[in-house]
Amino acid sequence: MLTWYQWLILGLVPPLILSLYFLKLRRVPVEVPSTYLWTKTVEDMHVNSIWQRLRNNLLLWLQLLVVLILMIACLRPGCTGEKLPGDRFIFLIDKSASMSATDTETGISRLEDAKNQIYTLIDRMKSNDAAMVITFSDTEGVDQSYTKNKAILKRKVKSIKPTQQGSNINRALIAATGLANPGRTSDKLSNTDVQVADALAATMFIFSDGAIKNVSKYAPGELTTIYQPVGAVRPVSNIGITTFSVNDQVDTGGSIEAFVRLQNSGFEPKTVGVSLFIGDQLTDADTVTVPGREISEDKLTLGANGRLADIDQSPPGGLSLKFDLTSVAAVLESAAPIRFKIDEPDDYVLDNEAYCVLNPARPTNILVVTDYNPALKLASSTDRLKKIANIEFAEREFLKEKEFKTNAALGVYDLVIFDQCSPETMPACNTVFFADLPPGDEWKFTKDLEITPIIYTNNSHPVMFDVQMQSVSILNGQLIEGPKGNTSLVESIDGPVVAIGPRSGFEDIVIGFPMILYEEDGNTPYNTDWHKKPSFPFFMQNVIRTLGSGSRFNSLRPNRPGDSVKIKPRYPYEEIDVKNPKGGRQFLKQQPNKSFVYNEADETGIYSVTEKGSKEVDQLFAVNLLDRLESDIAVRDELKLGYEAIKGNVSREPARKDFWTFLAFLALAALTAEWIIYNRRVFI
Amino acid sequence: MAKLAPPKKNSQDEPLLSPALLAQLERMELVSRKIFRGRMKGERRSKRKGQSVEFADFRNYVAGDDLRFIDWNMYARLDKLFLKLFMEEEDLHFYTLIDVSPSMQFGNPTKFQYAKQLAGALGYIGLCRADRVKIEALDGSRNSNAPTLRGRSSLWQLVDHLERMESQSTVSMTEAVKAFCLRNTGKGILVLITDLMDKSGYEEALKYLVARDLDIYLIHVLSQEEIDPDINGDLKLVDCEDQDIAEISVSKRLIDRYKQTLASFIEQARDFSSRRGIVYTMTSTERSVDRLVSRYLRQRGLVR
Repeated sequence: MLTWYQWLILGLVPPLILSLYFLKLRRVPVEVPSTYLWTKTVEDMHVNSIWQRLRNNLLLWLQLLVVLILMIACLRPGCTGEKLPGDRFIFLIDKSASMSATDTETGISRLEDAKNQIYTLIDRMKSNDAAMVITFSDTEGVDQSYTKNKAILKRKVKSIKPTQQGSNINRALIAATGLANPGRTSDKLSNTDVQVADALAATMFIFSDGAIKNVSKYAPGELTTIYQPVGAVRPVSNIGITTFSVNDQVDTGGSIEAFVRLQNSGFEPKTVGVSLFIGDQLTDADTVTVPGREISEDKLTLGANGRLADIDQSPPGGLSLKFDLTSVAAVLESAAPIRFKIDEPDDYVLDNEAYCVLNPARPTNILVVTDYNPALKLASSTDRLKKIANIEFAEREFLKEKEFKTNAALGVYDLVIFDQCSPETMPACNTVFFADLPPGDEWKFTKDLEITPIIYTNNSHPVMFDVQMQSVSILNGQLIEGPKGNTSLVESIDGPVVAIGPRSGFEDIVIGFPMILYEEDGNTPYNTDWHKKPSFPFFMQNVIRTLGSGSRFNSLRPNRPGDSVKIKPRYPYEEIDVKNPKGGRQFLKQQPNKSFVYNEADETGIYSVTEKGSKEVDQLFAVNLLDRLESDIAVRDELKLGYEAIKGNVSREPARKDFWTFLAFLALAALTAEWIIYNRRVFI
Repeated sequence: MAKLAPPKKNSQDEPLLSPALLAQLERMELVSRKIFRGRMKGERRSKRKGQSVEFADFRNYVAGDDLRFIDWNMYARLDKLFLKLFMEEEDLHFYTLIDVSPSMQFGNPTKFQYAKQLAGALGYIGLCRADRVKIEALDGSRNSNAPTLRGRSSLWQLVDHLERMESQSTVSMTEAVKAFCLRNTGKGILVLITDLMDKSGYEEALKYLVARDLDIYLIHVLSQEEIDPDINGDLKLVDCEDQDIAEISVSKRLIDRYKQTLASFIEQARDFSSRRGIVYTMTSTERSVDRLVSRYLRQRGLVR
């Protein structure tokens, strides 16, 4: 700021300019033929009032304007900006679903608010400062590597689009810390540890609402981390759907239920209307009150920046709802989309709708071909399975009958279990073979086994879910070699004894050992003690659920936005057409394993799959956010990164953002205008 | 001191009357709206009856009449003496007055040079038609050395006189015209070439001329710099005649105002002239003399 005498001097300038206007100018003498006309002209203009002269003198006003602007510039007008420590910056921006919440002061989304804050930071960067932009949701991406070009940085920040995905900061942190702390490498020969590059100190700004998955390991090294919480200071009420599923009939004994859980991230209970649509038809509606957070706001402590420090100590309130859809499903002819909706809009609308697919309640047809296998019979005819499947038993002779051949070719069966037998041609359905091979040369027994221990069970496959085979003893068996693309399910010390392999849209399981031995003398001793273990009924239940229901349960698999969706159509189409909720289409070609991979499921909603060129919907699948963390839109006061808890930034050093340069520029413009007016003789 | 639009050097070196212009002028004739009495026979009909071959009228003989003009055939038939009257062919006084004030030294070519060219051109037309041509400077002197010229052969004298004519010290226009009127009593056509830039006014001077019952043509010469001045900045304008000073700060508004003043000045002069039977023509030095004579002055009836 200026001192009083400097102000005095500055204040004297305008009167000085004014007085100069009344002084005689030093004029250039020019000889003219006669001043007669000039004198008359000037006399006309000089009806010599001083004020008239001043009023018409644009140049004077411009000069006074220039001085005025300069005086204002000397006052150093400005606003509070942010002082950026250091010279290298990383802007880590959360673009997960919760960043779409509009609980900011201005009502814009959190992401937009974060972008605005970053623009200010970019403006405050010195000309030699470099910065980079990393965004993260479920995945991370380096949107812009280090650059000093502020225009590029702003453009990149501006181009960040919100996603409908969850938040996983882990890999983004690895990318950021990796750039600030280059790794070390070891030269094995010389046994020395070499630093590959110098670590460069940088400051990382994390713009997030703090709703991120746990970070297990975080070693910032040279990286200074600053967390900028974005969003409302107090958690606003948001009712979100965190679970929406249609249950498996097997678990509920035949009834079909939709299960919904609502979550309230505010402190006060909130009453909302909810609706359930099947297709476009409103099927059920209700008004429910969702309780608020478990611990009330006044019992929580406040952080340094006014936010609630321990918001996670008070989990959001929840309410579960159940809708019985058995009767609705019974009359369905094809799979139908179900939409569950919260009627009242709130600050975060992405979790106000959830989708699911309801399949028609059709019992599965299963044929078990066996002469004598009480264990198989027992395990396939439990009450639970009976409710969802029509299970027929037949002897091996039945395979030669015309009825079987016709039914098998027409696809009447969903699953056929062959116990120590094999048909002439494979039926148009999934199959399970006990101690026999499907016709053809794709499947082979490679080696006979005697008393072999089982060392591995592939529990990641749905058929082997919860099936533990390690304690099962097998007397005689054979090693299996399956067709291309087969998956080993159970392995002995020598190799696979149970495997599953694809067959043009169907799947075949081959088990390399019999349950019962048919001896020549008519005895039927057990070849294994598997039937005595709980793993056998589990296995049978999994087989019937997974293979017997065909694609019915495919649609029940939860897909999240951004996931790769594996699509297995009912028939082995070569190309399919996937239509997203907005109507966009994408054609997919069959993968070598007869399935399709769809990578564009970025939005929540119902996606439909048809054969290319056909109008008949093959199947539907739903993509849902359903993320408790994202739906709890309370902004966290601190970010837990590894063992480090980073407090939300409040200690921004207030720095001035001056406008004097702008004013000086304005004064220059006024001066230029004056010069043009003076020289060009435009109207004065 | 800078001078507004100093004359180009070569404009002074150009011949006063080019051969092409002379050829054009030979076909022209000065026209007087009034018929004046000349002193010598010229090539135009006079109001006076005279001795030409063209018969005019008869009148009764009175004692003292020239017996040569008595129509004897008539006397034989009627026994009365009649005198035959013939149209007299007379010459014409053609005066040209050139303003020689220093203000005429401006422009490109200078207004003075332009005036001399114009005077020369008009004078040559008069010479070709055997009129009595006299070109005088408005210098206010009692004894003019301007020759009175007749006949085409006097062209060289005319040119010589014009070339010797110089812009002289300032005498007011009224004084100069008064002196001219005292010196010259003949009637005829008078062409006054001036820029009218006389602070004491031009009206009095024109009134003197009107009183002489002359056929007056006023040619108002202005330079382009006076019509559309190209000046900038804060200036002290110095009058070349009386060193009067006008201080101006040039602006678009001022220039516009000046043009308005000039327009009203011209309008005033035109109005004053037409009220008194003076034919007024305004011209710029940019307009060529042959164009002025062959087109504008022909339109106004001075030549045909």
